[in-house]
Amino acid sequence: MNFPLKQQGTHMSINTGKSISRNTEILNVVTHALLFVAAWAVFNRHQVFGLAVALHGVLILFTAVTSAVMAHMLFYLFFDWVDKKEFPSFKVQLQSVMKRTWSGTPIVTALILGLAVHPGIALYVIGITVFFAEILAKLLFGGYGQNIFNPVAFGLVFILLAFGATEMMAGHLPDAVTAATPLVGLSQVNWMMDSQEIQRFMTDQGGFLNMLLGLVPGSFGETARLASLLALAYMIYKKVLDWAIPLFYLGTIFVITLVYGFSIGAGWWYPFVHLLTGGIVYGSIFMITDPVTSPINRQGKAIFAILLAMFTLLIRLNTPHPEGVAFAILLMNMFVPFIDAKTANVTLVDTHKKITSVGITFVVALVVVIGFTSLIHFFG
Amino acid sequence: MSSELAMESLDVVAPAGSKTKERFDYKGHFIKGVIVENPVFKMLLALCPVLGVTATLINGVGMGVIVIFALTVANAMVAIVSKFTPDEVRIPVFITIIATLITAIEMLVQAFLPNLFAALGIFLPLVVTNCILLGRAEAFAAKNKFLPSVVDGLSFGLGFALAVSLLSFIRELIGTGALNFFDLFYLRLFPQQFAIGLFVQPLGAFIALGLIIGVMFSFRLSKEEQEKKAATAQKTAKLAKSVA
Repeated sequence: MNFPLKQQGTHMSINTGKSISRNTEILNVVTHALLFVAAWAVFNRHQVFGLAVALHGVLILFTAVTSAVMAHMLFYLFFDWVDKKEFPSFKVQLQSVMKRTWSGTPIVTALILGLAVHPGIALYVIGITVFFAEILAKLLFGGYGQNIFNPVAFGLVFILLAFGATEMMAGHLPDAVTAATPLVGLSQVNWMMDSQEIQRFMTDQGGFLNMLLGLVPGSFGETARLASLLALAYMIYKKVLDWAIPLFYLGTIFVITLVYGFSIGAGWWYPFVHLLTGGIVYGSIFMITDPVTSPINRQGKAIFAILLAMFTLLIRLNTPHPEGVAFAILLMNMFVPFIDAKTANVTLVDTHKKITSVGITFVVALVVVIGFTSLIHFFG
Repeated sequence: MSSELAMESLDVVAPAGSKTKERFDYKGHFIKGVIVENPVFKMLLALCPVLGVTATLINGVGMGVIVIFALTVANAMVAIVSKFTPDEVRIPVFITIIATLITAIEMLVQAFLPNLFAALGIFLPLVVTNCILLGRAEAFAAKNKFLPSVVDGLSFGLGFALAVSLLSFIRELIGTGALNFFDLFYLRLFPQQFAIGLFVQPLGAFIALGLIIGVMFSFRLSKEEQEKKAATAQKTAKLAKSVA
């Protein structure tokens, strides 16, 4: 197999095809967008749950960022010691370590992860998770720009596997925060609902507008859907993000759930139940668009996003896990080199071929999700 | 496959029949088995029990002791038997010896340590297929004399036992927050609530083993680099001297 080698030596510049200064600019824009979402989310949680939860959220973000920076510094200090590197003084070594730390974008990863976790999570859990995610998913591969798996998705899966669902909650928060989210209830019935149930669900949540604005229970970043969409618009305007991934991801989910909704008699509003619950909007904007762990050109990105949507829906509709985004991202990250090998080196501008390949992928995703889910319901 | 791997990575010290009068380097060979060519961390042999039974310290140490005993006795017996074993049937003969030995050990453990027997489960009879045993028999004991074979079995068994104990120590400590050893001592370092349960699961075994091997490898790499640097420096110094 002749996979294209990404990022040899200089970090991330080859992958995005931009200079280092342009990369700093990109990171600044992403950080600003994230801080906007964080501010919106904290205000939002204050409106829904009260001041204690909002302050807890600020503490979560602070812990996550501190832990990420600590992970980088300890990692570099340890390997300086192992390699017996000599520095004139400890101050010089610390400067060198900090320089390497900032080039590893600890803050962006920590903020995205801190916003995606449960709002009632205990602080030690998020600290340990960010530490492990930074080291296992990023630093061991050689730092930012060389990682195969998305550190944020890795962190979310790590929380799910490493800590129990109830033990990880902070004790001093109101019960409303730690109660089951609507997602758990939906996943218990495998997202099967008719139009009346959708009506009831909407009334419970206060309508789709409330869900879009984020005035519902849920995690910080995931409920700030309108803020995420505004951040997406800002990032597209600044040209730091390709619109292909979010568009194809959300579009595929919309079309597939529309077809599925009609097949179970749920009607026109069923796709919005999927799009406006859980982390699909947030994940599509901040997690799957990570330039390092997504394909290089637009054709590959479209195929990547469509298959990602397929896996997300397969996990949502057929497994006991309420959320499928993180699992689907880790799964698809493994196929990125393959997608790149098939799409990135195409020099001929053959638009017809490109559109055909994306269309075939879309049809495959549609058939797989609808067919598999119907089979399971038919036999199960 | 595994035994081939073991054979490849080992140099034969003194083939049977050769009449070298050199004394066998017991100390060097012992260190080689325990540290330099550690069967788990360096050769990655016998990963099935290493990943499977290291969830608690008792199981890890128990498995380590069993392998030390089995490897030493098996090596000794193979060294005796190999002189009059035809080459064509040597592997069946070795396997028979090892299987007999493990069956005896299994019965002993079942009689005297029933808790350990229950905890080890299928992994105890599976020691027969442990590639360290057949690997050492094939690569060393069959070609060497009695005493070197015993030392070889002891050293490689100790290397395995140390690796398994270290891994089970780390996994039990992080996974449950406490250490428990045959009711001899019980030490709780932090409350159960803060333990990372992932490390008791098989996934945690892979992560912990990978991290240990990675750290060890980076130490080795750094040492090799230092040696290379020193050699280059010496060479340039010599060159400068000769020029002067």
